Amino acid sequence: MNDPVTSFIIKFNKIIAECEIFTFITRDSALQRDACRQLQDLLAAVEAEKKYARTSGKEDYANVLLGCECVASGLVSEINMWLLLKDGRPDEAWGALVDAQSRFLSATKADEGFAHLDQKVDRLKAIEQLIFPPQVFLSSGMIVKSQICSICEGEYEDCVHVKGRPYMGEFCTVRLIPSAVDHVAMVDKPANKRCRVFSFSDAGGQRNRMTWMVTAAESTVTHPDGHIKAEGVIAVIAPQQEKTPKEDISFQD
Amino acid sequence: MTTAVSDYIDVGKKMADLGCRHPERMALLPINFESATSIDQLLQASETATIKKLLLAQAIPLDDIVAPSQRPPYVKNKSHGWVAPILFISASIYSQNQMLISVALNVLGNYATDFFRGDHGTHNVKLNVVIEKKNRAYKKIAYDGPVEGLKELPKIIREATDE
Repeated sequence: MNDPVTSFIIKFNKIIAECEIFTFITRDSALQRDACRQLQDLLAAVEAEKKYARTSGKEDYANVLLGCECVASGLVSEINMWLLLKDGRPDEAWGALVDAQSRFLSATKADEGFAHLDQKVDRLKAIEQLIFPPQVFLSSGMIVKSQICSICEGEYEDCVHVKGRPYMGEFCTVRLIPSAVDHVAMVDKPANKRCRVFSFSDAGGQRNRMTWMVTAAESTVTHPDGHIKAEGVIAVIAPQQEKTPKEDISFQD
Repeated sequence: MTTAVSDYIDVGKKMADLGCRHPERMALLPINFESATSIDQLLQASETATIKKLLLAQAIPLDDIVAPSQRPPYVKNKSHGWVAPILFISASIYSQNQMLISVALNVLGNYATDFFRGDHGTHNVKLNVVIEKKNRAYKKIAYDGPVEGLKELPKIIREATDE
């Protein structure tokens, strides 16, 4: 019980249990913000511990810490979702929900010790269906000329890493370098639930799908009768990529 | 769950027409192999790279139909689906080591299970298998159903090949 690894995990679990209390809309917003701050501190501690695990060559522990990171950041997103909803910002709350779902799902893939979190994923799915209105999701089909591995930065087809698996505390992801966009389609199950229709043209302007409010259209472009102008996201650019005009835009798979 | 068995084009001739190498063992074929009219038109399912790694890790003998420099681009559909490449099984693999077919399908099934892990609900997989018969005729088995149904495929492949 006294070894540093066990102590760290016990401390982690205690903070998570304390913060999980605030994953309900009825909780006081100030207390929820305090919980988020506490979780951010915890995330910094997990990152430092992960650095230690990496330098010590403890891959299993680094992967457990990756799962811890997913859990803590998932909780931050979940609490943020309620805060944003209370603040009248449902579009951003949706983003927080999707982020929370993605983090908890990732935790289940970091280490088998997090398998029980599929119940958390189910809960968030229920929140999605009960709290938010049905969404119209978008999916873009791309022709990809190259797939870059996040672990070794090499061409994914030629390296040994497998997408979605953890390696020394990091998930292998694939950066897609597209050469062309093939199509955009409406789908029931998108790869990324951030890709959705935000608003569509209606009498008097654009109707927000989340709030159902109509705001005056800024665009002066006219559309033929019977056509609907929709605004939304069709793809999400890979994070931490500094783009310059010379570089390819890449997408995370 | 649906499984449809149909005749398939002459893979050997198509490979020759496109300037590809005819696989002697197993291979992952581009998704538009049947319709492409030149090697430049070929497109791979984006899961091809992952599936290739997993099969090779289980010592499944895979042949590349093109040189690395001619590797076709990938098609990535950003919907939450699992699109596998076409699994080609040569007559020699079928006649000499059918166990490899079961192992390969098991690898694909495990990967699809991992792909959908933690996300409860119904998840169908689509997989096309092309099998080469002794007489150089080819059959296509198109599977669309739950991951668990993949274990029935070796039997269906046997029936389609031995008919």
